[in-house]
Amino acid sequence: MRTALRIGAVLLACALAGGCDSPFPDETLVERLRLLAVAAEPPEAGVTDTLAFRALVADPRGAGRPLEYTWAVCFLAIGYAAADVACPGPGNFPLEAEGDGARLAVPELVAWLMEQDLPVDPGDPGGGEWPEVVTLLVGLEVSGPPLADQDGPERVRALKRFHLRLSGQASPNHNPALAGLSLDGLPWDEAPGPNGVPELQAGSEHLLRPEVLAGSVETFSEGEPPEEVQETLLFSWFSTGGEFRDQRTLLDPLLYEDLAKNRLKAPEEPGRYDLWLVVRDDRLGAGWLQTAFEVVPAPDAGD
Amino acid sequence: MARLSRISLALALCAALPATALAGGSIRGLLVQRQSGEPILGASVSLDDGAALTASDERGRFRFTDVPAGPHTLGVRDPECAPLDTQVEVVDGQTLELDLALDARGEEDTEEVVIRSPRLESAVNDTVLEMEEVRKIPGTQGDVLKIVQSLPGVARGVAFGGTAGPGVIVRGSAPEDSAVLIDGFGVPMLYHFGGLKSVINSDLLKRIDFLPGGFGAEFGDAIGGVLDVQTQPCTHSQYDGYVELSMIDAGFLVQGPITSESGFLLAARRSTLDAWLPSVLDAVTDDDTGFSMTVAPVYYDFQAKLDWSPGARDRLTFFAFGSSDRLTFLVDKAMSGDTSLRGDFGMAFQFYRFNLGWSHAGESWQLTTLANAGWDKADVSIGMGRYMHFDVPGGNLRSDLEWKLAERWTLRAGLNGGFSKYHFWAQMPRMPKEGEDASGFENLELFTADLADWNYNLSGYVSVAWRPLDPLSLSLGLRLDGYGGPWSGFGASPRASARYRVLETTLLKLGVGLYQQPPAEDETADEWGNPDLGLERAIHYVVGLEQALPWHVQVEFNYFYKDMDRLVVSDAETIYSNDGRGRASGVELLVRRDLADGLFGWLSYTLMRSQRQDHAGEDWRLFDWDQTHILTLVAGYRLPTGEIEPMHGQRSGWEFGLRFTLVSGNPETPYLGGIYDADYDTYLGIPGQNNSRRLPLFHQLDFRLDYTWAWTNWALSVFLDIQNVYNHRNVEGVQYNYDYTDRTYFQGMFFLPALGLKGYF
Repeated sequence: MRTALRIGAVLLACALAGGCDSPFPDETLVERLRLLAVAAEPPEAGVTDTLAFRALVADPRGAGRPLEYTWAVCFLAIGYAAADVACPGPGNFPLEAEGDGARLAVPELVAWLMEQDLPVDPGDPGGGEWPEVVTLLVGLEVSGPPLADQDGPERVRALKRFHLRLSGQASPNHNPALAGLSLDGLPWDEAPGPNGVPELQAGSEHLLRPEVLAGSVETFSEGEPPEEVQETLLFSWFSTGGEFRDQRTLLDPLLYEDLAKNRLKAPEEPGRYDLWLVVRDDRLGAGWLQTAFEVVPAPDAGD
Repeated sequence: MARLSRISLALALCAALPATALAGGSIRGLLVQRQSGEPILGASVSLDDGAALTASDERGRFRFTDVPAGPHTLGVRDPECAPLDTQVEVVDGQTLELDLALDARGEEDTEEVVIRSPRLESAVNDTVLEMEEVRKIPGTQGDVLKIVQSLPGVARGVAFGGTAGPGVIVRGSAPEDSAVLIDGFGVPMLYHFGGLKSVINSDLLKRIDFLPGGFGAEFGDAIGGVLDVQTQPCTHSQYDGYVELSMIDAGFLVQGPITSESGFLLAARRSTLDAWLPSVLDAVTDDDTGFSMTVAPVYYDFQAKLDWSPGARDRLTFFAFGSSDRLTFLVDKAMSGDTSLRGDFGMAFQFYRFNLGWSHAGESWQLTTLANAGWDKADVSIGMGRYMHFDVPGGNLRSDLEWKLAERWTLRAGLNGGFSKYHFWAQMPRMPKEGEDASGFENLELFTADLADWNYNLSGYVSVAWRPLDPLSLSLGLRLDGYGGPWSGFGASPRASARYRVLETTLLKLGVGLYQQPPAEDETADEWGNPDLGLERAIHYVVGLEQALPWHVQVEFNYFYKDMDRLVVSDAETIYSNDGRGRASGVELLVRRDLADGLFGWLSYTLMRSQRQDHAGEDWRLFDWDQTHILTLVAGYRLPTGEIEPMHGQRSGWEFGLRFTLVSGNPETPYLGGIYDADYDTYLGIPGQNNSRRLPLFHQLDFRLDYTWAWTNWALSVFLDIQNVYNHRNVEGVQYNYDYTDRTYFQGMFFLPALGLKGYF
C-alpha cells in the first residue's frame, strides 16, 4: 500500500500541474539538430533475416553539413538510471552505417553473441521455453561539425527497439506507412501554392489530416486467452515554424471521434518551412513523411 | 454553565476554518506518589464532584479543557493512595498547571503538597502538542496534525505532499519509515491528498505525541519516527457539537452523555472542493493541454466513538473511523508515444478501523486490551494500461500491561497479533525508490502481478523501568517482531534509555535502540519483487538535555545519530535487495513557551545531514529530502477584552498568530541531457551525480488574525489567514524542457489570503 500511496502522490502532483503551461518552446518546433524517428524494416525479424534501420534526422541550421552516424545493437534494460545507457558504446554490436541507415544480419548478431559469453545464449534455451519474441535495442548517435556559434560538435542520440521473432507462428508486425497529408480538406500537393508546395498566409490556421496506406492498421492477438486487438496509430508532428495545436494525434479504430487531425497556425515570418509527420503503431513500427510549406504575408500586412 | 450547543457556520476563501475556539481555561496536571515519586496511572480525577471525569494516563498526566473560569473542586481517587480534594482557580484563556503528590495509604501527610516531580519516560524524545495551543497557528487551517511539520527534526515536504507521499519526513528517514498511530493502531496515511487536511478531525484529539527517535519498545514497524495520536474520551456531562462549512470541506461533530457513565461522539467531514475546483481549473487551463478533471479531489472521513466507565477503574471504548480520498482526471491526448498513456488517470485510497478497547486499573497495574478490525484499499490507474490495486482487510489484537513491581521498578509488556488477507494486482513499471531518477516512467517495462494471500504478524515487547536513585531512571526494553505468510521475517530489537535529573529544572537524556520494519508488500511479492528481502533496520543514538526556565519556557536540545542498513533498494539482478545503507545525524533545538498570559509559541531549529549508499562500494549521496537547516518560529497571542459568555463559551477579543519557516532547499539531481526514445517519441533524461545540487533556500511567513464579538446568545468570529505574507515564490522543483537541454524552477504557492467567518450559538 505504501507504493500505491507514493504513486498517488505523484499523480496528485501531475493533476495539480495539469494546467500549467511549459515555459519552453514546444517539442514540435525543430530549431536544431534533432532525431525525429528511427524505423526498423521489418520491425519484427526472424532469426535468419536482415533488418534495415533508417533514421529521420532534421538539421535546419546545418545547411547541408555532413553528419556522422554511429549504430550499434545493445544489450541492456532501460531503467531509471538512463546515464548507464552507453548505446552505442563499448561492448555493443556495432553496425556499419549506410548514409542515414544501417543493416543488421541477424545470423551475424547471433554468431557474435555466441562469442561474448553472455549469460543468455540465444542458441540454447537451457531446457526452458524461449519466448516467442525477444526485444532488442539499437542505439544511434548522430553528430555534426560545430556551427559558427557552437564550441564543439553537435550530437544527438536515440534508442530504438526491434523484435526478434523466434517462432514463426504468429504473423509479424509491419511498419505503418503514410499515404499523404491533407490541408484544409485538399491533398497536400493540390493545395494552393507553387510547385506543389502549399502557400499559407502568415498567422493563418489550417486543418491537417494524415492519410495512411491501407493495411497500416493491423490486427494482432494479445493477452491470455488471446484477444484480437487492432493497432492504434499515433502521429507526431514537427515543423521548423508555426504552432501545432496538438503535439501528437491518434487514429484509434475504436473511437468514433476523429483524433487524428491537427491544426497548424502558420508562422508570422514569411519563408519556407519544413514539416515532418511520423506515424507509429504502438508495436515498434514506424513510418514518416517530410514536406514543406511556404508562408506569405497576410493581405493586410503591408498596410 | 455548560454549552448546550454550538453551531459554527464558516465561509472561507481558499482555506478551511480553524477549530473551535476555547472557552474558559484548562487544567493540566501530573499525579505522582509522594513517597516514591512514581507517576500514578489510572487514577480517577474529577472536577466539581463528577461534573467532569477523567483518568490519569501512563505518565500520571491528566487534563481538563474548556473549564469555565472561577473556583472548582478537584478530586483524585486511587486505591493505593489517600484521597485528595483541593480547590483550584481557573482563569480565562489560561492553563492551570498542577503537580500533585498523593500519599500512599497509611502514610498520609496532613498537608497537601504540590511539587515538581521527576517523570519516568520510555521515549528519549517526546514532543507533546497541546491542542488549544496549536489550533490557530497560521497556515494549518486549524488542523493540529499539520503543525507536526513545524517540529524539530521534521523536514519540509513538497507542497501537497508531492513525492514525499503520505507521511512525515523525520530525522532523515523516508516518509514511509515513520508510523502514524491513532489510538494504538497504524493507519496508512496521515493526510488527505498528501497534506490538504489530516484524516481525523482535530477536535477529536486529546494529545499528539511526536516521537522522532529513541522511542520505547512498545512501538514497532518504524525505523524513522512515530506519531502517536490519541483521541479524547467522550464527555459524560454535557451535549456539545458544531457544524462547519468552508471551501475545503464541510462537517459536523456532536457529542454528549448517554448515561452518567457513558458517552458518545460522532463526527464526519466531506470535502467541498469538488463544488468549485473543476470550474476554476477549466477557466485557467488551456484547452490544448487535453487535461480535464472528471472527479475533483473528494475526501470523506468519519469518526464514531462510544465509551463507558462502569467504575473508576474500568473504561470500555468503541471507536470506528475511516477515510476515503478519490481523484480522477481525463487526459484525452497522448502524453507520449505510448498511446495507452491517455484516458482516465485516478487514485482512490480508503481505510477503515473499528477498535474495541478495555482498560482496567488494578491495585498496582493497568491493563489495556484493544481489538481492531480494518480494511485498507488503494486503487491507482494511469491511462489505459497501467494500474495498481491493493485490497487488504485485516485485524489486530493488542494488550499492554504496566505493572509496578516494586517501589522503584515498573514493568511494561505487551503483545500484538494481527492478520491480513491482501490482494495485490497491478500492471505497472516499478516505482522509483528514493534517490532514483523518475524520468521516463512511460518508457519502462510493465510488470504484471495478481497476488492474494494471508499475512500474519506477532509482536511482543517487555521493558523495565528502574529508578536506582531519585533523580535517575533507567529503561531497558526488548521487542520481538515476527512476520509470516508468503514472506516471513523476524527481528529482535533491544532498546535502552536513561534520564538523569541533574538539577530540579534540568534533565539529561540518553537513548540507544534498534528499530526494524518489514519491506513494502509489493517489494516482497514473488516475481514483482524479491521474496528474499529482510527487515530494514536502524540504530538510533540520542543525547538530549531539557532545561525549564522561568516564564513557562522550556529549552530542549538533542543530538541524534541514526545508522540505517538493509534498506531496500533497486537491484539489477534481484529487482530489490537489502543493499542500501543510510546515516543521518543532527542537532535540534526547541525553545518553547506554554500557553500562559495569552502567549505561546516555539522556536525550532534543526541542523541535519542525511545520506544514503545504494550499494556497497558506491559513493554516499544526499538523501532526497536532506535539509541542512530547518528553522521554524511559531507564536500566538490572545488579547481578550471582554467577559466570557457562558452560553457559547466565547468572549470578545483579538488573537494573533504567525509562523515563519526557513529551510534549506532539497537536493536535486541535475540532468545532463536526454536520449531520444524513438519508440515512445519522448526523451530519457541523463542524470548527473545523484542529488549533487540543492534547490534555493525556502522561506515563508504566515500570519493569522482573529477577532470575536461575543454577545449573550451567540458570537461571531472573523479571521484573516495569510499564507506567504511577503509573496516569496519558493522553489519546489526543477522543470526541464522536452529533451533535458534547458531547465527552470518550478515555483510554489504565492501570496494567499483567506478570510473567514464563524458563528457560535
